[in-house]
Amino acid sequence: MGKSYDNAIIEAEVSLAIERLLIGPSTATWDPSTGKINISSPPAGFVDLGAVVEDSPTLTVTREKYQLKLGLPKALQYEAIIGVDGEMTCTIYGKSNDVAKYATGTSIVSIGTLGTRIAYGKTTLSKFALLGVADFTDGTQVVHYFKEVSLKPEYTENIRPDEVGKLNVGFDAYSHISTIHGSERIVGERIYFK
Amino acid sequence: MYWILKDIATHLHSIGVGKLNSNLFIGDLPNSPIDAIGIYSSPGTLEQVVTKPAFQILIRKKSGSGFASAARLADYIFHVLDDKWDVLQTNKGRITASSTSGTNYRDDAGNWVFSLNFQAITVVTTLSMVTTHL
Repeated sequence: MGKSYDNAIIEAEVSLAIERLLIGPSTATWDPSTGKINISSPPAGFVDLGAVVEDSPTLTVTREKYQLKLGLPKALQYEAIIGVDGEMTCTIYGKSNDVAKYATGTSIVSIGTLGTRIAYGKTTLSKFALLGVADFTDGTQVVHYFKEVSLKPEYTENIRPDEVGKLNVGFDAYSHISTIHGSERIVGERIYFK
Repeated sequence: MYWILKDIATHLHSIGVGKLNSNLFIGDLPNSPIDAIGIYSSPGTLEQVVTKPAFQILIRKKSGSGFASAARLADYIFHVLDDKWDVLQTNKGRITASSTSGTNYRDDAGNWVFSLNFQAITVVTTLSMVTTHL
């Protein structure tokens, strides 16, 4: 008879990975039935944001729950989800405007062979499609898929003398009705490839 | 522990850095040949689920003009092992260098010896632990 203190981890559940971000215009779509994503050959419309600061990718989904408590003493009688939020934040190794344009949500303006310029603080809200891809050492892959995201309102950037250039990117997820998941409103999907 | 030394030796052999048991040795650096590489175990650490075994590579080249070639080989081995995810085969994991290449000394015969230290991050549970003694 198994004992609870035989706290063996299921081997298939244990592996190592780093998550990378692929980003595209909100019109870009990805079909999970096409299989695992190859980072070096992203799905059409998506580009690789490059190396990430290893511990930085963070995905948070929050469901706002309404709770009705009645009686004496008050006891839980009814619950319902009345709000749902999704967000993805990450820090990217990089200093060029090719990455910063996604972090700030603006378009690049060329200054010829000299370089490029982008704007801070524009009122235009840019929407993107976002894929977080994590290849595990056992060959499995987890994909976090947000069909439509917008940039978080704040943008921070720190250039320090003793660190590689880093850019922070953060996204809020829009919701959509998913026919795959019972025609319910969802903000994103987690896809696991064996 | 031995599995990681063997994986590293096999990888270095496969990319042509050395020839296993001819000038590339596990846990040994015999007097001959002088130009040789030795792979040794180092103290690693054990954390919840994650295991961090460590290893050291010694690169020896003949005294005198051997310094430059030893330094270049140390740089190359650093390059092919640091931050690599696909080298370890027995237990998949990531190798990171503990420091940049550069540490060196001269052995009793005056030969140049460069040392490189690495740590790997792997998942070795009691279920996946390699029990073979080969």
